[in-house]
Amino acid sequence: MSVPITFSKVVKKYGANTIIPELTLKVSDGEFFTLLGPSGCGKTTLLRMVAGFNSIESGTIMFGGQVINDMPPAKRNIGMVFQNYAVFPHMTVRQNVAFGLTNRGLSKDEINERVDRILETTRITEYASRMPDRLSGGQQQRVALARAIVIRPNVLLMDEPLSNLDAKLRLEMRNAIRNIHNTMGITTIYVTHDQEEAMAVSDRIAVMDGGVIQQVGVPKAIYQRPANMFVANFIGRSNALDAELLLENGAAKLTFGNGTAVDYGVYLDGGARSQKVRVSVRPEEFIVSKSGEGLSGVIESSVFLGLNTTYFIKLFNGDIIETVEESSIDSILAKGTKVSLRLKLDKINVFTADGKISLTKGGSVNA
Amino acid sequence: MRKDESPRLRSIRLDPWIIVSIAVTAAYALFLLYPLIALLSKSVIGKSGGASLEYFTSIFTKAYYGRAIMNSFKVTLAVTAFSVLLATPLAYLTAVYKIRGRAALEILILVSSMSAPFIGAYSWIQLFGRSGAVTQFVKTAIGWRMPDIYGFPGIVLVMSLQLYSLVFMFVSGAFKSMDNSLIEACESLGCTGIRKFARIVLPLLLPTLLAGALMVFMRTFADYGTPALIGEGYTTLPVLVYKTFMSETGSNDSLAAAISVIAVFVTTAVFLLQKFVVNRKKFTMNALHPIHAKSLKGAANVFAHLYCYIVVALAMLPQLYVIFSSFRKTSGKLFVPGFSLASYITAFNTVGKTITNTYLLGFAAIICIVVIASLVAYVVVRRPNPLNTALDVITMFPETVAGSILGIALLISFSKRPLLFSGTAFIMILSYTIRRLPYTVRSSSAILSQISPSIEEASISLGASGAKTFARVTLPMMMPGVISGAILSWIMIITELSTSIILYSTRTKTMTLEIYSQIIRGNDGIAAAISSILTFSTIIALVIFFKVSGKKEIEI
Repeated sequence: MSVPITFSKVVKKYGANTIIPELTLKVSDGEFFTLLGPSGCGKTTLLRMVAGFNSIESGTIMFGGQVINDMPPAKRNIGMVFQNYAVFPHMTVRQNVAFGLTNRGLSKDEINERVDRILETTRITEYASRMPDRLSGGQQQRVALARAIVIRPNVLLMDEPLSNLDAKLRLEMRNAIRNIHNTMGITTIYVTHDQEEAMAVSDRIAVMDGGVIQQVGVPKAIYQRPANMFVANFIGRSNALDAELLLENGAAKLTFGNGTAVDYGVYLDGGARSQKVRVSVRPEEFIVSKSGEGLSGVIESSVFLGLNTTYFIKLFNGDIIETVEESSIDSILAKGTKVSLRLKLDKINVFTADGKISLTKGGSVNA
Repeated sequence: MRKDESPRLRSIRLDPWIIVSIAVTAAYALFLLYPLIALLSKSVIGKSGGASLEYFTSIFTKAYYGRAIMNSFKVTLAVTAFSVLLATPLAYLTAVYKIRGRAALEILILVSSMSAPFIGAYSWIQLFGRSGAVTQFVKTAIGWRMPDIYGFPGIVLVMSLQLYSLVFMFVSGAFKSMDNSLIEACESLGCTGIRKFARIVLPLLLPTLLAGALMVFMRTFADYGTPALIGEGYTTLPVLVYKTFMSETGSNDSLAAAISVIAVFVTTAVFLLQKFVVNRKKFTMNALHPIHAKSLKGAANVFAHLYCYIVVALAMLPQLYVIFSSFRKTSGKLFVPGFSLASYITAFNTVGKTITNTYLLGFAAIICIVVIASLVAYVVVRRPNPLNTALDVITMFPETVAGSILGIALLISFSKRPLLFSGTAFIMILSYTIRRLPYTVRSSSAILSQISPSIEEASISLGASGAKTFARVTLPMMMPGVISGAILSWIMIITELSTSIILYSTRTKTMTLEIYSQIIRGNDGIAAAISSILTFSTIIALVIFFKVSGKKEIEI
């Protein structure tokens, strides 16, 4: 039976070092929830607190209505998938998968039946009698996954499960993980530093940095309406431009250094005041033209990637920005070409000058 | 066509490793195979001069010989079992839980491993023997006669408390390379406590345990000093071989050779059995997350600490008592009340040369071992071919040959011109090198097989020659493995008795030999003083090792 997980004011300390200061979060029943962040952001630490391998210095973690702070890992009914698989090297695939069930004292028939079914689900039936050292990384990861879910855990925890696999396998495995989650519906916490992987598998994502949750939301919101400059930069690529926001006579004017001004009123958050701002523009959110309208710049270099062409453009103020255009059949803009850049106003995001707070509608920390 | 052939021809002609393989194989053929064949032929040539199995027949028909073989088995199995049972919990507790003074414990265990087992036997006799200090005290205090320490129980006690340290070092190393994720995975699946130990920890340790057990088995089976001192009529094979070969009332080389051949067959069988089991149980582990020691609470904590302290204290007791005795005042051969440095003064004056002998011979042997072992490890791992496979087998084989047997084989083969080496330092260094090389070869090959060949290819692609690549890239990367093996070899060399007691002359007498003869003569004070000097110099050597290598612990 799957349960919701509630974190209230959870604190993790190593000696005098605070790794996670008061973290509060709610993961819904049956949700696929991802902790995403750069290495050292505290995501694995938090996951291991849920698993019971790390202590909780203050605050509570609850499974359903039950506080699990001091419950030993073996009693939490969790399934855990480790970064290096942690498949027991001295047992066959079948013995590995059956391991958790034999600890629960089930009958032989039931164990066999459940193991067979899960081997089928994870598509490793043909390797059942193999030893782990004769399996590929992807196969070992399937064994680890099968072993974790066959016990019908309340919560499934995955610690960077795909980071040791090659790119193609990673893609295949993340689809497998998503499909298995769809059929089993176990509340899952998934840790990764790969933003694309996070967006592909998750119902919701929490972006973490320095032990603090920067934003929680569905993948679409996190990408399109980042809550701060950190999220905007960590998820996908972003160019940062300095500008000035001026609210006058009900209009909100965004003015850039060369005098270009646009009306941003429709997309601005209600509470915003006139101030210096930082504008985050993703490469695909520029419209490059020779019209002379917008920000002026000169093509520095270009990279043809097939579907798209990336341009590096030196702006009027000397900044180099990156744009991406669908490749056209015409020739690529040559180095030194003078261009002008317009912005897709519905897509760009505006932050306070320190980059910490979004001034765009929908860019709140919790969605 | 020429173009296709020339690179292959060139690589065959110019590979200097072929020369290494041939040279080492030739040396082993002369210094190991020839003596062993000489021993074998001696055992099957009868009194009449023709081929005969008369010596084997007499061994198998006389109860005296059969009993010695059985005794050796009983002692060896018991010691192996007890060593594993003592050491495994100790290694587990110190690896998984925070034990106060753990670093000190590890150093004490290391120091106790570097003592010769027979010194332990001697010290236990001093304490618990018929006229031992404790025995006498208990008798006068409460009038109770303590049970006898001599014979089977004494040998097992002494050898187990000595050799558990080897198993401990092996198993501790295994815990360091064990992946904590496996243990966490086990816990997350609802398996804890003793079940966790039995189902995950123990199977993961098994290959290491078997390696440690094999080493204990071979050392116990080959040990001469301990059963000779504390056995009191409980004769084991090495004692029997020695007595038969060296007997003043008519030595019998052929009979000794026949007993030796049987012993070599037995140990080889055990060796092969162990290899067979290990090959079936082996697996690979990648220790991404090493185990971090946790704190225990309450009674479990007290119990864990008590266990560790008591085991180490018991193992250290003989050495401490020897050091204590070395400072006691003596009158003639007897200890009298009070303390003095007289034993040390006598020791230095009369037997000072044995100290320099020990270190000169030991260093010479260890240098040979390091050089030969790293070359052999390289050709075995990197140049797999039939010759090198054979070389691997030959260099490893002496592990299964008890020291006294190798001693006899060398003596039989090299006491006649032009190969007259008996009584020289050369034959001592030779025997040390041959017997103790396997440990260094094994640890060196183990580390080398973990180093990717592409590192050497990178060096060669950058213009370094093959020799330069080996010296500047491969060898430095192999060094940790070579050194940890060399330490084990060193331990075995300085505590060596059973080979050198057959091969030594007055000019090549070592400390262990001197201690043994002083014990036999009853000069307890001098024996204690030399033993203590051996212990102190071991500690100094260790301190130098730690300073030079910058390490905090020794890994085997």
